[in-house]
Amino acid sequence: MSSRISAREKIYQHGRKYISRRKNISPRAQVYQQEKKYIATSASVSAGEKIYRHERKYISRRKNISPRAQGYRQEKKYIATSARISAGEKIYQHERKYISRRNDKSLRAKRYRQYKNPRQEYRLGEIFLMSRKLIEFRNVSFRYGEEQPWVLKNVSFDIYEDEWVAIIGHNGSGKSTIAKLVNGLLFPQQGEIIIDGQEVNEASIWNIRKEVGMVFQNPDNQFVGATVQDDVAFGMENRGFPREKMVKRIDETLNAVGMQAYRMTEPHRLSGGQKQRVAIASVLAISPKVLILDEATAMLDPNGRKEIMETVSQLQSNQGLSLITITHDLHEVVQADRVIVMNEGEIWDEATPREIFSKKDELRIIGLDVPFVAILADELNQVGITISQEPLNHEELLEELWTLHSRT
Amino acid sequence: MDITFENVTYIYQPNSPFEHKALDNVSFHIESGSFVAIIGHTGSGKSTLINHLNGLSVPTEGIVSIGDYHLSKEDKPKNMKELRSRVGVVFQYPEHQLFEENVEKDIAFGPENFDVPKEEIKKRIEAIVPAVGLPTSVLERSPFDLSGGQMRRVAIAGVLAIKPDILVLDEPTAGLDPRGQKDIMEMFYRLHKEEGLTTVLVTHSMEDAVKYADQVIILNNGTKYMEGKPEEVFVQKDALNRVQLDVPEMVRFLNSFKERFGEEIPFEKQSVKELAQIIQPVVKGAKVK
Repeated sequence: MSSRISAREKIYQHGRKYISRRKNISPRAQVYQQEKKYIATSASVSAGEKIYRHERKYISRRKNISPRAQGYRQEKKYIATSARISAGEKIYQHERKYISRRNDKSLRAKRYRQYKNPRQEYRLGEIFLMSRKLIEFRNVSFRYGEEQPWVLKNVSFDIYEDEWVAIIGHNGSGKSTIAKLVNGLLFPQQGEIIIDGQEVNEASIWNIRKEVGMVFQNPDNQFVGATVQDDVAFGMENRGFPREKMVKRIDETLNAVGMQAYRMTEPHRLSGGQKQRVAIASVLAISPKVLILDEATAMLDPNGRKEIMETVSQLQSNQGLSLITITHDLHEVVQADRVIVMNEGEIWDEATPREIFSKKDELRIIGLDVPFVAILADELNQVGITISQEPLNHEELLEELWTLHSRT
Repeated sequence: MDITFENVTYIYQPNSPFEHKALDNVSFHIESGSFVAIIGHTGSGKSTLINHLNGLSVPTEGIVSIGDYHLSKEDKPKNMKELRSRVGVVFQYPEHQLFEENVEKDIAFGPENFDVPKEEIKKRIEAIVPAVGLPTSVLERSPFDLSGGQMRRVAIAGVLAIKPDILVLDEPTAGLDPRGQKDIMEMFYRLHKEEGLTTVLVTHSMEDAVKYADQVIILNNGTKYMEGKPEEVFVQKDALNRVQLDVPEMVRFLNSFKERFGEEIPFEKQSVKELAQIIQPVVKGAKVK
């Protein structure tokens, strides 16, 4: 070999040669583009972040237990759960949790009022006590490369503290890109994203990531511990939790996801669904303000899904947690306060589940499903039984049918 | 090819502290040409069962027979490769197994390993690509340039290219959007009918099992818990709930309907449209016929 060039440079050159033949958004091209950007700008990215980005796409294609893959998973996990937290912040969070528990119902109620009348002005103190905007997307556009099509086109929305928002849309509609933008795995080319008052950029991502917990679809990429309890402890260790608190949180979260019997079990002895429950426990353990489930229940069996959703919904209402579920599961959508429907990179609609599911034909056209009760209500309308309100569950539909029955 | 399990037990890492009985005395018979759904909650032994169908796992006790191939602890067939060329397995998230530089090579990988002649492979690819709903233009592209749904179709095409008699599907629609799920299932069902395949579907979706399967096998803790036609098995709410499974949504609705109206509507795999027509007179005051 003639000269010694760094591994990074080699990958860059190799990638460049490979990519120049084709314009694409393959994982390989993404790695290349990220590399290129890095070399061009020598941006101040942390070492961990660099490794993470570099490895991310490389590893995702292959299941292996090489040191490289292990290191990658560890980085990913670290980013998903970690951040150093100041003493002040701890007190603040503790306080907030206390307040939100005390005022749970009224807090929610106020938020709804605010959501219904967004123009209404509130006094500053009042706004602090009730819900704040936790996530703001302002005219965000994103694409993976300069000549690539826009994945998100001028997307704007707000997500409030304590709110549960479901994001639905066909594959490739931009749902997961939104999730990656929220915790700074990607940055938009246009527009801005503000999380809890801070704009997401390279400087703020470490602050942002302590607020945003993410659970991904594939649990194999998220497991780093030698045992279940080690895995749950990982994020807390990175944030310097005291031992007693860690032990307590491990108990609580494993209980919440129904995995307490597996505390000492090694990950490769767990099934996919069990691993995912542990992944959820790991993120919940660090009490983030926003929990994003990116199709996180897609691999669980129906009972597992139900359990997870009950747990998450309980946490969401008890702790003032904002919840974003990116999902195809209609039961998760029905439980949300609000639904954002994505279609081809744009917000197609934004409304309550009931309003969304009344647009059955349009939903089908953009490749989405509608719940069984909504379809049945439609068919009943066809045979002369007029259902006045779009039913969200069996009980609502039966109630209405019973009322109609009693009148005859 | 018929599939028969006779008292099959499978133990992971026997005689070690990690010993785990994944299958416990499981027996069943699957007729050639039938469509079978295997259902069970996470960890019930579904994946272990599937591994026996092409000899990835060999039973610790008992005999697995696939056509004329017999698998048991004492008697491993020497022609395992031949067996694997007749049983195509689509594992979970098969797109993770794509690796070739273009789609055509990736699909050809399986048949090449089974020494299928080049011209024959070419012919098969030409037939399979449209059958899985891909345009022929993808053949030259890198599989990693495709969307998730397309990648899955490529991976499935790779399995179909070996022309299996038995097709084993391990949650083939997981992670796809609703339209993608429907398209893929319809595609498998069409292939099942057209090619006369024996299809074994592992699924969590009771709705898919009702729609496509002739026979349902429910696993729990490594044992066979229930077996029968979907319309017989899926009405047994209590038995299913006991093993953390739920009945299809239609059955749940019929149960609630009975509680409210005192009228029992039998579950006969009817469509939602048919259900509406049955309900309509009841709401208007008539009795169920």
